[in-house]
Amino acid sequence: MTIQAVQNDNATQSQPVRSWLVSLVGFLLVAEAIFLIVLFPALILLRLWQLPDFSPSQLLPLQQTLQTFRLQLITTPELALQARWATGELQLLPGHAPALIYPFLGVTLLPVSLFFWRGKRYGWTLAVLIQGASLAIALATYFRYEPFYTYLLLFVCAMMAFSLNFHGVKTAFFPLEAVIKEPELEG
Amino acid sequence: MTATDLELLRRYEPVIRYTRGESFFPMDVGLYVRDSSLWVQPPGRPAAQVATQGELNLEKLAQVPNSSPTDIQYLKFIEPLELREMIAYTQEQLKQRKIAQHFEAGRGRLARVGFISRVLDLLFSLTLFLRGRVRGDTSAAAALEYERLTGPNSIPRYYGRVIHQDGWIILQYWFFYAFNNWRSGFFGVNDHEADWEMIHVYLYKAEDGSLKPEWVAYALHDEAGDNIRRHWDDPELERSAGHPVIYAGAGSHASYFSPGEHLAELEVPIFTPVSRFFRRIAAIWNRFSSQINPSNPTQHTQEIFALRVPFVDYARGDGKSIGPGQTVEWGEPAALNPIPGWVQHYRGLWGLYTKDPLSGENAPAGPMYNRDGSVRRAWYDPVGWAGLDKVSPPNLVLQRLTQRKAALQVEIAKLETQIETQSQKLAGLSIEVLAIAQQPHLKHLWTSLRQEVQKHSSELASLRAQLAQDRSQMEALEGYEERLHSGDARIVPAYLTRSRPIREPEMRINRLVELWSAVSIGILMIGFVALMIFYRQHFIAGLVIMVSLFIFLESGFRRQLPQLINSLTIGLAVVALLVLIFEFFWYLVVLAVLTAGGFIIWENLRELYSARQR
Repeated sequence: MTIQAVQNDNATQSQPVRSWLVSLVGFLLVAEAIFLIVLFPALILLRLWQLPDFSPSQLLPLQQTLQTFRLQLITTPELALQARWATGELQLLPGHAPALIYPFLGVTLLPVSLFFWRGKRYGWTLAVLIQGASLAIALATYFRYEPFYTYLLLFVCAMMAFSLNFHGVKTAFFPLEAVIKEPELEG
Repeated sequence: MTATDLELLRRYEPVIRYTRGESFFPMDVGLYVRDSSLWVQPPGRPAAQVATQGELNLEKLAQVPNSSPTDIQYLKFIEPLELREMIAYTQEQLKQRKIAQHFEAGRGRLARVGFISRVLDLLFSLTLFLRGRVRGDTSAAAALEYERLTGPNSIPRYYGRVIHQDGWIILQYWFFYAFNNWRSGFFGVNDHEADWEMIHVYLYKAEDGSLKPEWVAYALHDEAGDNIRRHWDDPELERSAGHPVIYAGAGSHASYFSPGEHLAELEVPIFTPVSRFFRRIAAIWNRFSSQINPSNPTQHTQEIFALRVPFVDYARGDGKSIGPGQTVEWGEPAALNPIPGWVQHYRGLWGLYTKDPLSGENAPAGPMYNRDGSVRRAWYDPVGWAGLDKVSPPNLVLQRLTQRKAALQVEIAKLETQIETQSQKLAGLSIEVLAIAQQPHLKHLWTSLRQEVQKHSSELASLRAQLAQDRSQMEALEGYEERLHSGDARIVPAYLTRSRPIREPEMRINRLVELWSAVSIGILMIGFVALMIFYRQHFIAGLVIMVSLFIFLESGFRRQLPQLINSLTIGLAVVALLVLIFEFFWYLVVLAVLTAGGFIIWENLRELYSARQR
């Protein structure tokens, strides 16, 4: 009988104990999800901040902001995202446009972290998938535009990809089978 | 051959169980030779017939003079069928299908292996057009000829030989088949005229003087060594009233210990370096991160990156069974002691020479020789062939152990003397060094003596280490001797790997996967051509997308998506790290230096603080 089978049998009697490493990585996944969600708004705010005639009071009231702040996605090979601002025109840097995907990945990562934390295999797989997608987009953006924020993304996602592959984490989701050794020659 | 030898052969003669649909069974070589013609193939020229069909017999074959080293002598058993004969044969096959005597392939072999192996399989199949091969209708002709020669109630026959080597008494059984139709009949690797198969039973002389079986070894394609033998008491070895049971591969006649469908993978030599490279990379990664494969934790790295062509050897044992107590019994065995002339003097091939450079389609040589005319290892060294050269027969274990102990005792005594001498010499030298240490005018002598003391000291240390090791070894031998006397020591088999049939869970392949496996390579090729014709400007991008899609689907079908996703993500993470190192190299260097500095300060302060506390 494999260790996994033994564990499955035991699972019917008592809940398996979650290792501190799995809990830690689960917590880091939630932190990463928040990071991904706030990344794009943070980029816009940063860009707005750099406008010469911008003052934070212009962001309020919210109603007025939403009416005057329009995003226009231009689907040309030179993908660019333009935001028009009531007080002037805000031209986002081309490398910022791909960052629009990260809030969606971040929102997806939140329930995935929950599945991961609860020890579901698909939680681990989806978490790895999101790291892969984030890394692929970040690398493509880096090689095309080299925006500054990709460094942070590459670092965070690479570290998360490695931490999901820690032996202690991976074996919690994919237990090793017991290796039945052949008998050795005694005589 | 003595009557005792013959009796021994009969006592342990095997039972062979065949797969339903098998057409060829062990036969009398005399019938085959009488029905064959003899040819000589000089290099670069057409083959010349030396003896026509009907002219030859075993005596004449023994007198055939050796050809020149560049020529190849071969027998030719089959002439291609005429159309009328082919139709009659096909009708007969269809009749057998109705009465369920034919072979059913079962689960597709291609569905059991990966995408790369299927591409290699396609390439291997294509090479058959370039390589010399046995014609497609030859198998049918051989089946008809075999039936005509042996008749409906043919008596199967084996050839036996008794050999004495290294304390073992070896019973060597040879089986001759008129044809190997593994490729044309059972989706295997090759077809060739004539097929020699063999097994060994290893006996030893027990205390009561009787001969007891200890090991058996079965010829399994071209394998040799520990993997091909089993202990007589091994549960994997099936026995029928004291006779070992062989499960013969359908068409290939390779011998297996257990019934089932054995996956035989042919490693393509030109891809071996590529496989080795990927295995090393995977091994480094696995060692670095203690990795496991999420889909199949027991899957070995070597299996993942093996670039092999898959073939299934169907050894189901659901067909005819030959041997003692079976529906068909063995005829009188033919002795190969003393070696008959047709075995010893005829070094040519026993069937058609197709000029196949890989030799798979060329007929084999006789029981004594390899295709190149050299003597088979199984013939001159049956003990070493099965890896038994390192295993003593049970009746000789004690004797050999005593010999080893005596030799070790001599070595220990010699070491003790050496140590005594060396020790005394070293003591004298060190006193001398101490005595002249305060004499400046003897400085040179003092230096050389000190060097000598160091040299002797080091030699003495290694002699003492060797003595300690020898004494431990002696203790182990004595312990083992005691266990042998008390009957606690038992010999258990040790194998590197076992060729087991494909297990049931591995065979849970649904129809969709089978269908996908059968058509995927073809679709890929059609897609390749479509890209070339219609989207040549986007050919590379299209090809990448198409191959990626295929890999994705393949992984999905094989439940290996997590593994694929993880591998891709790790690859991307490594690229990301390289990018970061490239961009922030000097920052990282500064950070590393600062960290090292901080660590050293921390460690020193900790030491200082703990010293003050004391």
